[in-house]
Amino acid sequence: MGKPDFSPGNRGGGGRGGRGGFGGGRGGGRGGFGGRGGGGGRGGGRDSFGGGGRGRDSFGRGGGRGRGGGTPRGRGGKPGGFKGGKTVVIEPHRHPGVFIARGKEDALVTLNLVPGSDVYGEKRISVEENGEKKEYRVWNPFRSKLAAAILGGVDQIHMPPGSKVLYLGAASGTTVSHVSDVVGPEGLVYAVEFSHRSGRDLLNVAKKRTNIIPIIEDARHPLKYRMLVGMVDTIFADVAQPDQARIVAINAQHYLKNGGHFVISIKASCIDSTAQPEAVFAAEVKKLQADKLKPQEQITLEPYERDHAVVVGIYRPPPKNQTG
Amino acid sequence: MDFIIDTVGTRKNTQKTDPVFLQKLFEDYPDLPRETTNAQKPKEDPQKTLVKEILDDLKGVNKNRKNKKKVENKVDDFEPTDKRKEVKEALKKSILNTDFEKLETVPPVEISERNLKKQRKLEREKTKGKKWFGLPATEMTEEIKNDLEILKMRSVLDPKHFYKKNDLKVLPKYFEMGKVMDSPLEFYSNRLTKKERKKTLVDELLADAEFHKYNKRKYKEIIEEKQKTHYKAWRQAKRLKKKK
Repeated sequence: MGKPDFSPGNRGGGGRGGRGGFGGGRGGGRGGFGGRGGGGGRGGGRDSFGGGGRGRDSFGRGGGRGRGGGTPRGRGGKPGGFKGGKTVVIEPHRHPGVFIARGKEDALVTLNLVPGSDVYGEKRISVEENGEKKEYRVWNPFRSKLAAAILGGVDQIHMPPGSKVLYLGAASGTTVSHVSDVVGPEGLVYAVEFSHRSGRDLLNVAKKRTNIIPIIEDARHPLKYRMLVGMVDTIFADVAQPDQARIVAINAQHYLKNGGHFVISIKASCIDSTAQPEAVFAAEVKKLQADKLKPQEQITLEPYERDHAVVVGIYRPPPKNQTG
Repeated sequence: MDFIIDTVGTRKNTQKTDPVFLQKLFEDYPDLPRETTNAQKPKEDPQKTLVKEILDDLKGVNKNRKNKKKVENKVDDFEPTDKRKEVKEALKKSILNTDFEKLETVPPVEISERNLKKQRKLEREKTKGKKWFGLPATEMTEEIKNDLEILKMRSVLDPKHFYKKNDLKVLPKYFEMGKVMDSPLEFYSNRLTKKERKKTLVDELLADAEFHKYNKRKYKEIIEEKQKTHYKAWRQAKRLKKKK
């Protein structure tokens, strides 16, 4: 994997002896961009890079572990608080369209757009209010990078109900289904996926959810789906390709409105498996900046994913003196 | 002996009962309701007419009756003005209701801007708003309050479970009580039996034997320690322990 001479500069000398970056140094997490220096800014303004509240998400690690992990019961104690039949309290999350289910453990949930059906075998929570039946679906941070970013305390996801989202790298449509829950019936999700195999699952998800428009096309050629996609408010990219920044940039040029936002998940090993993750992230951010994609925030998805970062930013921001 | 019920007057009455005139009239206006004449006609034995009507109904030949219904409908359309749709709509905003006389003052025609704002605010506060798909402000009953307080203090429930910190400082206003749905995949691994299912979180805890055992033991420990020493000394020791 990995193209050795792709990432610029800082490889840290020739002798690539140990895999230095892996165990330690990565902990810092939310690095600041562009010479801002002061990392400590907890009290900093809203859009200050890197600063800004890690917020109120107190989710236990075991929260949404569910399936997939090696050990089903991480703590060795009693199984989790999400047995069928348990009572939980649904509360609004800080992000619009997202909810928290509180029980013995907490979980991120979204309001199910299609009550009575799950997408990938996730847990559901039913609520009956005055004879009306609602349903919430548990959003597993170990399976979705967006959920991991939300639990990691990202400041904004820029996907309120009613917004239009271009989702690059939709895969089987697990996260896409949650995004479609979040934007609601008035919103729209354009889900782009190149692989036919996972595109088939995506189509099945889109059959039930009317606000998903599935596109089985290469995201490198946005012109191919120009007849399907309109102007969007936000681009979410989880493509895990070496030229990810370029893919996002050309899609933004075609479909993202001025002042629209982008949320990119960067997997360091997919871009350069030999360089240190921080260096890879920094290089990617530099590339984004060159394309007028101004990054505002970066977090690592540490407990949930390894060597991943999510960068949130704005495209062609309006000039400051006009707004002020 | 036949009776003639005279309601209108002699001249008209005689005219109407005149069979030849009636015949002519019905030929000219086939739509004319006949039961009016029936009423004016000399009355027959009521039982007889009833039997006849039923028989006719059974045969389905009584066109007279059908006709009658049609006409009645037509009459209904015009008669009660306050039942008509347009009138109803127009009267919706009217303050001149039936109990208008009983009111102390004449109610204002237009609600003031301030009151309107107040009403809108009240309406808005019922849900969390569009951004959270109208999450309602659930009514705080005693049971729900207990549940929320349990959640607030959940860090003491399980000694093996770590919670970050108490982020639920005040009880939430907008929330819903939900139940985790059964998944067929976790029938054996992650399911509560029917007996274990309880209505509220408190009931769930009360049914938990292990929790009871732990709680009882802890309680006993604290009481014993308290009894061993003087209360004030115990307080002091506890404080010192905390400081460490």
